[in-house]
Amino acid sequence: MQLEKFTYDNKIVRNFAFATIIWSIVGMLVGVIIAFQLAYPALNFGIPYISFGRLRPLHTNAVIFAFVGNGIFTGTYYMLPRLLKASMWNKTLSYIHFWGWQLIIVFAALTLPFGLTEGKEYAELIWPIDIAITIIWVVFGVNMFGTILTRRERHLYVAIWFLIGTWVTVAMLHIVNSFALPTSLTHSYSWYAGVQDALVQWWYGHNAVAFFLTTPYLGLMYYFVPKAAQRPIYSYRWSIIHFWALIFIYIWAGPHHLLYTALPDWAQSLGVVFSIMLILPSWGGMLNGIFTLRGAWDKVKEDPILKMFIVALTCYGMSTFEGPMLSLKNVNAIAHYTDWIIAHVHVGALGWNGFLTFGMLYWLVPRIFNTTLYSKKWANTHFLIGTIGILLYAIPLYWASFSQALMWKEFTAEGQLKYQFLETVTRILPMYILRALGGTVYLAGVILMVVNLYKTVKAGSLIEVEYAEAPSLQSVPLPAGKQFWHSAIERRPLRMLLLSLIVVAIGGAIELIPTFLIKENIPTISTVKPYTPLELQGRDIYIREGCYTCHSQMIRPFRDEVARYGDYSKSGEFVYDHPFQWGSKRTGPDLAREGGKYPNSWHYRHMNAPEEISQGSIMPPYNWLLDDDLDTTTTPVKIRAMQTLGVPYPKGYDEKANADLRIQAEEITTDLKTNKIKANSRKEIIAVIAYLQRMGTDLKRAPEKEVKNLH
Amino acid sequence: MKFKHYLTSIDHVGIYPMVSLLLFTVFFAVVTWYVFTASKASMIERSNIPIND
Repeated sequence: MQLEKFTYDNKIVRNFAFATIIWSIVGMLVGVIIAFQLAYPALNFGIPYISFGRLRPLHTNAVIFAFVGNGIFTGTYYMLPRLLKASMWNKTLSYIHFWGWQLIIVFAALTLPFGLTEGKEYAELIWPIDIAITIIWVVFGVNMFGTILTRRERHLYVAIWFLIGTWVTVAMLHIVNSFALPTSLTHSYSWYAGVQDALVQWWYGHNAVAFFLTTPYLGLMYYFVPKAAQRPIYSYRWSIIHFWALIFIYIWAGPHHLLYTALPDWAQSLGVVFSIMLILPSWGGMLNGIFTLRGAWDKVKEDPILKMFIVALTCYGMSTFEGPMLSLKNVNAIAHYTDWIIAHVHVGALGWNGFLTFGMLYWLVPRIFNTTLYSKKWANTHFLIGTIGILLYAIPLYWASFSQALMWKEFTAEGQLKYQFLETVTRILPMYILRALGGTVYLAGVILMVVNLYKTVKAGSLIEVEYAEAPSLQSVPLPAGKQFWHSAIERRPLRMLLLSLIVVAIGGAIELIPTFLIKENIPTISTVKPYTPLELQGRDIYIREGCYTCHSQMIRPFRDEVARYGDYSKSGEFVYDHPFQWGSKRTGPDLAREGGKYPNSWHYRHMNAPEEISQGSIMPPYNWLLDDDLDTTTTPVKIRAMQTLGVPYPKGYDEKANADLRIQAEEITTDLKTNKIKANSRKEIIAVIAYLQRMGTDLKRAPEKEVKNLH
Repeated sequence: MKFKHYLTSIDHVGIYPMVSLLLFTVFFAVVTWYVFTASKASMIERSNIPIND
């Protein structure tokens, strides 16, 4: 049998590994900063670029796409060629992928602090970056499939299926969710509005967790756990079921982010049922990983890498148990909008993604640098510090969420709400401080790893190219006799790609399509009118400042919420909201019916210095809104974009809009004057006040007609 | 307007959860059945791919 010679490129693995390390520090550092900002709002310093609302998207995007993203690619570029006994298909594509991805991250870091955002969670990046992501993702896919098609190993190992599933699903999610109509190079409006936008966003958002933070990392788990333990995966049969069941079910689970909202009931129910079912494949996969280490517990005790993998798998198990529980409507009623969700995702991010990445780096870096780890003791210390960090992060937040949710829902004997919203916030501030410390401790562990790996790299030298040989696929005949059916799929990667796509598309299609089709069935509320030009501009500032990171705009039909915020939210209220701003967390109160609650002067003073108006408030000051001029040159193009998206402004309104804007701005300024505030009507704050005073007021207007069907 | 009412008013909406559940059950059953009919030797061979690379 003729053996063919080929090489493994370790340089690209090193590049991605270093990028993972650098971005982990950046992403987590921003996380620690915003955690302290929540406890000590003075840390916002009144500087727009570092205020919580702008840094929070930077943190989430950095951790998900920069840290975990590079982690995925590090593992992929190491294991894919080795599992397939082939070089990466095209070296140039590898490097375009690497530099392209880093450039995307740099642009994200250069846009988000400046308030350039699309205003949808984990999909904040502006449209040119979205296009760049699509291109680089395709480059990655072509390179991956090129490698798979030129392989010398007949069967695709399970880790590779997870990569294929990841690739195809992320492509689908990213493209569908990112549809937007640009109004400039840096600004666009989501193609979808209100309920539809919410459903698409959380179909995307949940599956960003599923197919970016989970499935590719399961691929890494199926490779690096057996590698580090030097024993095969516990059950290969389970892994097949794990893969197909997981990708089938995951895609349906998105609506559990929208329970009790204005999303249709049947879609909520589907989300719940499939979320509960998710526990089976998830735990199958977790146990498969943990059982791989059975009989090797003596090794686990010694080896920091295996320890990290065990904690990673345990955290995966915990968050995939917690996830389905949180999807139960009665649990969700308590947990949603509180810090429970933050704790839940951080058990996943810090435990599962973090520790799996660290274990992989400790295993991989010494190998490609032809040396041993500089200090096993430090790695063990890192393990310890990291674990304490996770606990110190998560436990206070669980505590905080229970206390706050109970306080929100408590009534006095007279039937009044017992606590003001602000009281429920100040009560949990000590927990926020502990959480910030937990994050700091975890970050300290990561810094120890960086030093350890730096010393390891210094002690060794990179094996840039590794040589290997194997017979070509054609020269090895298929074994005679009956073949296992799944072999056929494993041997045909494109068929696998197609099958994965079909499997993930089913769930998406069944949930999304009816919600879009029945648009014509949505009873329009006749009093719900498009935003005035000034309100529209104000809304864009609301999005720019990331207000949705702390304020929801969705009142659920509960006694306490209706008592606190007003009538529960109706789907028909959001038909002109491109993008929707329902939010997912109430660090501050819900704003869905904010309009008319306070006078203009209150908002003016409150935005300038929230603490002076509400003592103990942790909202950052937005003093720059009082100084900065509102850019009205964008009004016509924004109105035209809205018209294209179906918002019924009268024909030719784009040219008249600014005149109306001026009139409304003057009205507000005059009103402020009667309250002894001398304000300039051309400042941004006036637009923000206009938007805030509009919120949720449509229903209070005298109806022209009760309900009108569109068709 | 009744918000509970409006999207449940698509025709036969109750069929959606049933169809979904059936789809999954069939899919899951087929995968499971096939997986457990696979030969042990082939499973061991595949699971050893990363160990032998």
